[in-house]
Amino acid sequence: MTKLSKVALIGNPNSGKTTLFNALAGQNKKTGNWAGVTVTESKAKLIRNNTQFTLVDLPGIYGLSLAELSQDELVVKQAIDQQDIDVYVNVLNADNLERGLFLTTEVLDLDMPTLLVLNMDDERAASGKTIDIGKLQSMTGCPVITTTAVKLHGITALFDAIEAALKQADKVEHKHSELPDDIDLPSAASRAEAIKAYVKSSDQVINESKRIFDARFQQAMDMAKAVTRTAGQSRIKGPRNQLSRIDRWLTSPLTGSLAFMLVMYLMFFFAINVANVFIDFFDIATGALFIDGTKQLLSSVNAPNWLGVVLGDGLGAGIQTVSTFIPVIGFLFLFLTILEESGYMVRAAFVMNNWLQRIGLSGKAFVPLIVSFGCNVPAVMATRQLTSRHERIITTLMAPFMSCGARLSVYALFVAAFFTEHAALIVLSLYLIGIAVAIATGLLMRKTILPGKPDPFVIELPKWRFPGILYILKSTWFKLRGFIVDAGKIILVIVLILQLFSSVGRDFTWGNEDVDESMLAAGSQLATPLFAPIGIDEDNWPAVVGLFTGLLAKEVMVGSLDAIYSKNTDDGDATIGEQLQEALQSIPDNAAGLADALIDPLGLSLTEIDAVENMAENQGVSSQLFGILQEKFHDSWAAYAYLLLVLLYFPCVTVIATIAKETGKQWAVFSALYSTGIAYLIASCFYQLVTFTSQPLFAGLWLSGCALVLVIFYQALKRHANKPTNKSIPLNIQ
Amino acid sequence: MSPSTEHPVQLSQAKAGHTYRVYQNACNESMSQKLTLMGLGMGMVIELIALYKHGAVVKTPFGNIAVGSDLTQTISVLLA
Repeated sequence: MTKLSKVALIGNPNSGKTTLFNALAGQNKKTGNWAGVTVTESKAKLIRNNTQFTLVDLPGIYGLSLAELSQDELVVKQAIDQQDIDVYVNVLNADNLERGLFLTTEVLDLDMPTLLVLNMDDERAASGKTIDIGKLQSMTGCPVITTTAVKLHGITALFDAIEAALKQADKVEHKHSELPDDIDLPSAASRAEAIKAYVKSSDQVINESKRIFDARFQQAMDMAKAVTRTAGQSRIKGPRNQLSRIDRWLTSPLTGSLAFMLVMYLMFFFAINVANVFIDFFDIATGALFIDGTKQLLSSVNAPNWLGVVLGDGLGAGIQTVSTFIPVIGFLFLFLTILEESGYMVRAAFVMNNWLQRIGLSGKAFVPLIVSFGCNVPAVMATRQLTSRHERIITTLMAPFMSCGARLSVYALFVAAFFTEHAALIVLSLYLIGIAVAIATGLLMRKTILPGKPDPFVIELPKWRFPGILYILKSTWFKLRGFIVDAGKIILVIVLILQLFSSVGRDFTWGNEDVDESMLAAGSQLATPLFAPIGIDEDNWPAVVGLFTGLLAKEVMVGSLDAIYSKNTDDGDATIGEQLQEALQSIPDNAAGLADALIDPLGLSLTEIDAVENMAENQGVSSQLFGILQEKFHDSWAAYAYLLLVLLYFPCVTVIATIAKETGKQWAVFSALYSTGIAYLIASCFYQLVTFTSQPLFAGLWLSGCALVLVIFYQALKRHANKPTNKSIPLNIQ
Repeated sequence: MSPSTEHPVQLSQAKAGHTYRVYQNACNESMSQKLTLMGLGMGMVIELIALYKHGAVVKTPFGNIAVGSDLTQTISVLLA
């Protein structure tokens, strides 16, 4: 089998490589108007006329020879070192040639066929600059193509140039970088190799590297000066100047922070409240189609009962769980896409940089943490914006402690039953405890297994860009589709397993869902004594079942608690058609409450105390549930301890699956165990502390034991960190 | 000390709205090279657009960049 030719896009960060990749490959890889969006390489197989090749999109890099490279820059170096790239397409920002040409001098020295692409040509034209393409071609010896990838301009010409370069891949006629005359390079496979060997053999490695760096930089400056001319008035002077005034507002501590809060408010509003309008639709419709529909279909063909459980209650319920995330994730992605493509993210990261540096993170970590309040899943994915490996993992471990929107439904239920006088305060306290645990986690990781200081903060402040609503929607859709497919596959398997356990009875018969005879219930009853230090008595085993079902998704907890405590069953009389009608009707019904949400984006009003019947109706549970909860949890302290557990323990399978996908399985396992352990310790210590006087000996021993566990855990982390082999747990790069 | 053409000051003590020449930076070689490629190399002429406690926004020959307070204290400039 012949090897497929490889064409690599290489260039400075934020020069539009991924947009160009998407334009060439017809894909929709994540783009953004800031440096560091692409942190891994993407590949696509392309066929044009009779030419087949693999197109590789490499992360952005300022220079191949810099003394220290970040994680994403190392990906570029590794790709080059493999020596299987046939053609380099060096992408430069046409509006900022000076910066890009330094890398060009290094790419030329690789002695491989190279094309220069001057991307963002529309911005170059708008700023009144002209570039002498012929001169640039003669100075570099490379074909030069101008493109505006976001508008698909120049793509055909680029394809033609790539085809031509691949046909003459053995011919390299371009110029090399200009080095000081006294440098006598040894013979090597390429000029880059020769330079490397020269520096390595030199007595003064640092000085020689610096001399070569300076020579390249000077050549890049001279070349840019020779080919660029600023003619006439910039067409963007007026509006861009106004935007730079906006920059002054957005980067100052006071107005920048206020603007950030406004943006976050809007994001919450969209991701929680506007998304909420559609959640019932997805929940009811997918439930009707994939659970009831599948079961009815199987029943009509006399399929065995177990098949209905597996396909309907297992697979169908899995699809239903995934579908309920679609509106939240979709709106978050939409909002984040707008923020990323416009260039706002950099401004926000700059304003927040100072605060986060105090816990060892850079300003860029702020965005994923804020996104966590909506849903932890996109937050974990948003850590891709962080280029430092340790910072990314720390942020990933912190994110699940930021209380997500789904947990709010559980708080609302318990607050209504136990904390009628201080409802909002109780919910607020949970949010704050979550933030505190997240910060403590960040500090703990920095001081132990993920040490280091945040990188000095320096980032390009890109020009504001608005790529158009169609581009935004398309980009959002591709991100959402990626989420549904990737995370969905893992969720389906886990949902299936949990469903099987809830359907199989102690006597191994089927059909025990939501009743205390299921294996899941039996397991919960066995596990209940473990939760005694948190205030969960033996007869309160349904609370433990709630924790198990909360592994799937926190919003599932309310339904399962209601079903088990109240022994309620769903209304199974509704036909699929009626359910679909109900699903459709839920959209205008939910939208009617949207105006109220404008002043309550976190949904705290859910916790306002109303008539019991109204509250029960609002939360879709039976009114007797509140009384049963009060009876089962013998005091409000036990209820609060339970809420602490819900706040902090295992986030949900979707989040853990996403962590596994983004950072690797070992970090997903660590996150699951760490969060659950911390949740158990905090919830039990809280309960033992507040009920100290009732059994002082046990409480004292328990609190001492917990303190000892924490010390041992800290020491274990320190010891683990000091082992040389454990200093670099690999990050999952795909 | 106020910035002048002869007496360098830290970027964190420079005045917004003025044009400066980068005189020195106390970063390691790698960061120094990165700063050069971002337009903050020694000898380069920059304009300090805004200066805050948490950092600065600087107009460089290559475009606007934001630098954190850690860097504004390591870069010294002369009035251009």
